[in-house]
Amino acid sequence: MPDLLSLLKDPLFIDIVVIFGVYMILSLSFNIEYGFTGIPNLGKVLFYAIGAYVAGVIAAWIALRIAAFTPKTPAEGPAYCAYGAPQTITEVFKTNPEFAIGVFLLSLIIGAAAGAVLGVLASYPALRLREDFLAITLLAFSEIGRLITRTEWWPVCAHYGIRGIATPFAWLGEYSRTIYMFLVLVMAALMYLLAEKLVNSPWGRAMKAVRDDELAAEVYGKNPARVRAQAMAVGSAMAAVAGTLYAFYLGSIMPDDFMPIVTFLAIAMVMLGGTANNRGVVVGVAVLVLVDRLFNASVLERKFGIPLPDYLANSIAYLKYVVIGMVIILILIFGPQGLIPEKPLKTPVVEETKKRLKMLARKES
Amino acid sequence: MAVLLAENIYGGYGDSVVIQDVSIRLEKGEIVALVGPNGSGKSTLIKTIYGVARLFKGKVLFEGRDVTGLPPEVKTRIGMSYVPQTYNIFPDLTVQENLEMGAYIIDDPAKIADRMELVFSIFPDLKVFREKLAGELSGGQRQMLAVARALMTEPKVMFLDEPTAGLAPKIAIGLLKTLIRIREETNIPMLLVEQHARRALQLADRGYVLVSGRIAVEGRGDEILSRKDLQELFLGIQKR
Amino acid sequence: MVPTLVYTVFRAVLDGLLEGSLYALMGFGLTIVFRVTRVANFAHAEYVTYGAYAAYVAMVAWGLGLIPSAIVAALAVAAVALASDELVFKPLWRRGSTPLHFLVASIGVGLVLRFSLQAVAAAVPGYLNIRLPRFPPTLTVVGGKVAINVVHAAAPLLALSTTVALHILFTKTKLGKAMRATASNPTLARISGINVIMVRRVTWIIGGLLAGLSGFIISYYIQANPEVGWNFLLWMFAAAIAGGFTFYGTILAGLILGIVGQVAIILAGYYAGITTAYKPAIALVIMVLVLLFRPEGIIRIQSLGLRRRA
Ligand SMILES: Nc1ncnc2c1ncn2[C@@H]1O[C@H](COP(=O)(O)OP(=O)(O)OP(=O)(O)O)[C@@H](O)[C@H]1O
Ligand SMILES: [Mg+2]
Repeated sequence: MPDLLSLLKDPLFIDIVVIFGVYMILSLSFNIEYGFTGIPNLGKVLFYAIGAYVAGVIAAWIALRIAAFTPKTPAEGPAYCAYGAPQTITEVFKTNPEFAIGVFLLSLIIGAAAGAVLGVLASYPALRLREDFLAITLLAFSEIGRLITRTEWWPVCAHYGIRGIATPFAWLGEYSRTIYMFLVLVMAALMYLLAEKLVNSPWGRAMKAVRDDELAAEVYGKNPARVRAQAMAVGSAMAAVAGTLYAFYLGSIMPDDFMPIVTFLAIAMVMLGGTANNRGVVVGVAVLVLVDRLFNASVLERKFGIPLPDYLANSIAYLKYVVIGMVIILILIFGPQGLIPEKPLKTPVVEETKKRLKMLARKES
Repeated sequence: MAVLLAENIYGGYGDSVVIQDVSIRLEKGEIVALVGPNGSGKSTLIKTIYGVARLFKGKVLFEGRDVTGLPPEVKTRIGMSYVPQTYNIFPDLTVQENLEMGAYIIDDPAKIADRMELVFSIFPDLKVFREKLAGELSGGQRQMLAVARALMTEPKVMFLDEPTAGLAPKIAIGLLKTLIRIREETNIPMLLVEQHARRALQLADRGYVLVSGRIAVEGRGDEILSRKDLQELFLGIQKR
Repeated sequence: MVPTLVYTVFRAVLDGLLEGSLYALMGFGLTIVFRVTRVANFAHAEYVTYGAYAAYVAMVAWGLGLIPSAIVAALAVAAVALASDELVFKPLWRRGSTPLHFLVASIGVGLVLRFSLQAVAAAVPGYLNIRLPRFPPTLTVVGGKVAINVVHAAAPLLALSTTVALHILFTKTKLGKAMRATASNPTLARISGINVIMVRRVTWIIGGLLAGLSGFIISYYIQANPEVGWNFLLWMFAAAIAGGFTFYGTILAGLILGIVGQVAIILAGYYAGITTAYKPAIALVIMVLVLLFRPEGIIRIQSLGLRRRA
């Protein structure tokens, strides 16, 4: 089947699938925080960046240790920022399978842990602030993070970024990226199952209770602060995993890949699919990833033979964000439920509260 | 002809129906008491009639004209007036500005000045504090300001939702006496919600007892008060 | 012989005053819209950008003078602001959306505005980076080192005259008082017969006018591009938040933020070798600290009923 094989090797196809998987995880994590727990985490991209940078730093550092690399010309920042380092790092990935797979697993674990810790810290404002101010604060956190990565050579190589990272299967040669694509898909599926399991567990019901009526949740012995911190921990760990997967795919990690627009894209995906609904998120992510990847002049022209006039060729990359903005607006105005509405899930806490309130009302009259 | 007629009102918030099939009527010069336990829907009934809460079904006639579904600002323009139970002043405006906003629909400055003198003569306290921010007034002064604001337009009917809430008994009685005086002078009908059911029914010409969103009893104030089977209800209300 | 640092700080204060005036004008628009409509409007940043571009088009493409261009910028942005309310926020308000929905919607509006401008700017040669011609003539040079430009005087003057105009509007006119009343208690405003729809429109128009003027100053002062407003977003929110979303508090907080930000980053560079790249961090840190520890704001000017209600 030459067709299928060439499709599997097609960079555009791999790109779409990998980005789909990455945004799937990112959007699921946003859904856990916002859709199910009611925390508008507009700083999502910060936790995604944490995963990516942890992966980049660990992989680059260990690779250069293995290769005993010393920069020819002294450079700012750690050795992996130096000229010639990226090539050396890639070479180690290509020749050392134990390293490639080991460092990938290590990055996943450390990245997720770092994300979780940071998530718990970031949940602190969630206790004190109104929703809209909380959203602004978290967005500000993510911008502070980007500012630091843009400016500091230690340990992130400032605007130069960390480069030369390859997939954990780089040593396999031709099909390495295809295999990685499948790995990302498997990870996305695992995260989906995890998210589903979580939100349908008693803990998931506690999250919804906190979202719908904090007071009622408290009356029934759920500690809203704890539930929020847990949701942020899980959500941020997931976002970090998405970032790690992205870093190993892309190979270079630059500060400006982590602008608030990433968060907004995830928000649009969740809203399109339907908040508090993981199945819907799959649909939302699929649609918007296609928009994101196909609004691209060279792809349209070379892949699909659709020639674009000059003015459109220059501007089509921007038009996709116009589409995303429109999606957000239209969904809010015409169907806040998204494509697939939230499943009415029986929440014992809320049901019980309602029942008792009714009884009280009857007694009074 | 009744000044205000609300027929078969169903009202509430969002999808939840609080008021069910309630009809009330206000005749010229009448003070009508609306009493009932907490949460029975007294405020919701007024809000529904005034267009602040959601009206599901029913009809509202004001001076014979169908005003069902008109927004609150229009209802005020045609001569209705409403003192909400909560958030009934503009805390960020001075006393004087609160009154000016009460007279927003009047264009003639001379007339606004007249009305202001009138409410100052009823509530002399307000005149003293006219430059003060309303949010800095005492609870009693706030309630006075809330009533005064609603009086600025020379209304033809007034809805007063617990104007005496939180007031010391003496001040509360003073305020109620003032209301009676206003009624005597202007002959406008008032629908008065009172937490103190006994007091309200004694003062009012007629009364409605609202229970769980429906009218349980209606009639003359003293009649309702004398009904043995309702004693427990009033006690219940007063116990709070 | 005056030491160089004095000149450096003097320069920083001047620039800070200029930037602070911008923060004040932008932050005020944010505040008034937030107070009246509960919209924490991220798209306000884009209004500023549109002001810069409108001024540029008026001046370069239509050949208008400086003042007419400023007026075009203000009016054009007022129209954009009004349109975003009529098309997006008002429908949301009618269906009873929460403040968070407003905020997310404003992100959507911001994306649409910013990137449609990006798309156009990318397609039309010469529009990716713009700067008004007749770049600020120098008024005087202090100590042979610090040039004071027209814009250094114009921006604070504009901020000052705007404040005076707004003060008159809010205290002397029925419309202005109705705006404050609506901000203070929207339901009671309706019950008082105030046409809140009209108040709403005027609010967006004022916010838009101020954003348009800010954009004009920016394209006059620095180079503008389709992202220029977005880069100011955190500053305007910082001004509004530090001012506790009170009208005059925001203006004062904006001025102070501008000066403190500029001076602090210069001194930090001088003494601690911290790069000016960290300047936005000042806005971010102030904003986060205020929100976390004094969410009611630090510079709250209570007179004229400028208190914020929870
Ligand atoms: N804004 C609102 N949204 C949803 N439900 C509301 C709202 N306001 C009141 N309710 C509900 O409507 C019912 C009636 O409330 P309402 O305020 O009309 O009672 P009330 O008779 O005025 O009580 P009180 O004597 O305490 O003033 C209550 O069950 C209340 O929970
Ligand atoms: Mg009530």
